[in-house]
Amino acid sequence: MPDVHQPKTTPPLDGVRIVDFTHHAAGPYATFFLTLLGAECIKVESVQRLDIGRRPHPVYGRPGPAGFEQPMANKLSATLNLKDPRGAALAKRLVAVSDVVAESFRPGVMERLGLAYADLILVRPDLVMLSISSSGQFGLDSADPGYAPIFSALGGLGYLTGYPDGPPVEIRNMMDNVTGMNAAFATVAALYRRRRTGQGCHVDMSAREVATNLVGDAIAAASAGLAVQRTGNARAYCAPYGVYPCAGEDRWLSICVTTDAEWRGIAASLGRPDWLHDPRFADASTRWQNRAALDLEVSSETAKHDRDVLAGRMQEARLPVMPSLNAQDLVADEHLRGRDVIVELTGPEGQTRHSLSAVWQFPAGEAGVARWPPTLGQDNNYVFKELLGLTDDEVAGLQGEGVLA
Amino acid sequence: VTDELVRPLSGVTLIECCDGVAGAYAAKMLGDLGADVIKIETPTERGNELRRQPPLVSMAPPLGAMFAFLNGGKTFITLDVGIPTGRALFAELLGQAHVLIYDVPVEGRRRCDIESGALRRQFPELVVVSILPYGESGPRSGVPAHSVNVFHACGEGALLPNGLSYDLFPGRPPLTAYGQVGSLQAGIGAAVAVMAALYASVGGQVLDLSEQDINVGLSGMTLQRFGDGVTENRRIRSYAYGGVIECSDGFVELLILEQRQWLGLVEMMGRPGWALDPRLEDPQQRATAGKTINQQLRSWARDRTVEEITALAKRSGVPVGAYASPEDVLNSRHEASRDFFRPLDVGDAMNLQAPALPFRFLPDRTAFGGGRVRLIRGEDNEDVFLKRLGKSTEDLERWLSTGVV
Repeated sequence: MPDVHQPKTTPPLDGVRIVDFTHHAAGPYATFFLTLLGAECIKVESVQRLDIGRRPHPVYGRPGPAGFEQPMANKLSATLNLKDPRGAALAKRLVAVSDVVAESFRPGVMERLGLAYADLILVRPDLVMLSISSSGQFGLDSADPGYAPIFSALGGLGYLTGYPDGPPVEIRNMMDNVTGMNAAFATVAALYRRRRTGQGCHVDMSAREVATNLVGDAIAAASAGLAVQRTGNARAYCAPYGVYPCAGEDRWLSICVTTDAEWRGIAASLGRPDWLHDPRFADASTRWQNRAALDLEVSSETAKHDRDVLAGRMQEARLPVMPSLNAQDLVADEHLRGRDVIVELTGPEGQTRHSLSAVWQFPAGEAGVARWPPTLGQDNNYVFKELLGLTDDEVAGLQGEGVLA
Repeated sequence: VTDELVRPLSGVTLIECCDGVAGAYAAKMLGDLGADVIKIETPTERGNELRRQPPLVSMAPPLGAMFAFLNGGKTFITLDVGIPTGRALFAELLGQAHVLIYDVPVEGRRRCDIESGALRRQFPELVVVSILPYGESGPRSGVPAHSVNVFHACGEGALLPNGLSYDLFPGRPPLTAYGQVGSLQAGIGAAVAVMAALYASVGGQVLDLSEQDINVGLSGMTLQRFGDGVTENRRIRSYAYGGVIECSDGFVELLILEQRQWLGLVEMMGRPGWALDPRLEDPQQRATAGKTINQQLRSWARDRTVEEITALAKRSGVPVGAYASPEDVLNSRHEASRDFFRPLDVGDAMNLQAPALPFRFLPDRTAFGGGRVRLIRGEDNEDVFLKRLGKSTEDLERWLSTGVV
């Protein structure tokens, strides 16, 4: 009998090649997730129009670029001017030797470049093409531009997020990334379907529909005539349930009590056995009715404690509490480090940067980040000479004429 | 059109043994693509707690909106895997299945002898997907958690809210995105893992998934910023201008990243004098003047309706989206044109709707989702135990009377 613990050595998407025309965040994260599963991803950019993530956008409140390295980790970089007919022709040749094309332009842009699904299946009949857009490839609003906070608003997630007495809240990068993760799901499903049927397809990913799925329960409730509103951190009939302050600046602990046993544990951990005799907090129903008072009481106790010490003690007692982690906390978290979720990459100059890695915990060696983000056009030789068979002279000539640029 | 094109996972049998949202959502996504999902509920009076979790779309029997959203199209059985006969029937089901998704807590697994390693040895061809708040291994593996805990464990919770909500309530606790988003996102990640394992098509494997890991996987920008030398927080994360804008009858989200969008905004507001200040042509200067721009923008928007502003924005190419309530989303003409909402059949006159998966496999425009929701626990016991496992009516009656089923 084979040793079932022997890890496989090939990742699940080994042998899948992606030509990646996506930009900004949702698309680049979709293809990044696919690289974590073992796909080879060739990011195609042009000097004339660099990825939006490489460029500064002062509206974000910072002078530097929006953020490019994380979603570029693991990818290959090739430069190609798609507005030059020779560039578009090379793009098609690349598609012909690839499995997946990914793009996140507004619907219509790929048509104008001569790279629509209908064009590309002429060179790769079983192509899986992933198109990510704010509102989908068809429908009344399909031409509208959109970014994460806009499609999270359109889809209902922004409206339902927020304090009960406050305005709605913009959901930003997470919205892009969860769109990317849904797109990764759809793409692998389309590849699986291709394997079973021999047929590719054009995956039409609508980001606002991702947001609507994240409020799917509220949609079902609305269809039954129930109005669902913003509730902050609360959950109906559960108290204490929310995020509570700890000692120091901006230190918070999430506490989610759903049973009487957990309530007793919280009272004991905070040294307040008297709560158990307080008629306001006697059972789930009275705790819910008196939740405003209860939140004040719990907050006044948690505020006396160091967040991590308190969390450690409560978790030891198997209580559902967790610090509200910021980036520094994430990188330092021993549990995450032990699971290789975040790793430290070292660049060619010895520089280091933390990166997402084993999000899925496929057995050792199968998946995860291996490559420092590439420089622009770093892999032109591999792409144009090895994959497409261009000669040194041809590459040099096309570079000189601004086609591979 | 063959069945595999419309239902690419047809023929895949998936056993779902989950009380929580994450595993149930993963199974739902795979079921929507055609997998045959058999959901196991414990044979207690209450069954899955989500049946009773508010809001309830039906009172008798109780039907929680989240339960309805997660469970369209699934086959429902009851089984106590904690007792030997139940464990044996569980093994028979797994013997006929391709995938198991389960969220039984670590201690319960030991008690029932269903730790993933044991299942791996017994079923070498099965894809065993464990989904727990912090995974099956690591120091926090035994700690319970709810969606709010998970959300705050990933880096995004510490960053919500920003913009208008933060300006209005700077001292309040950080927020969680609506409802159980953290767990739903974990479910999407789990669905990706299952899809990749099925695509790899190399027989069985064990995947030790963690809700935290997957949500951290959606916090790439937080790590990006950390790598750039900044630990983000709610205060510094706001847009310099734009964001959540109040109108006379609701809110819109507005985000300007490109120069042409700024020019469109100026046109859309009727070229007011303040906006024609030549300094505002420079993106950096606009960011510096962000507060002033927003004062003007807010005062302009206050007297206009959401509909007016979104119509103007559409004409001017300005990225704007309405903050849509669940009712608005359900009544969206755009989504109607995409046939996005699917009926959940609950066997009575109620016209329950839920969002389909957020993608299509074009050229076919079919939306994946909907299906029958079982109101009664164990509604499919006869079908599964008698027809699929070939047991006798007497066996089933005995198991019913002894609490196995």
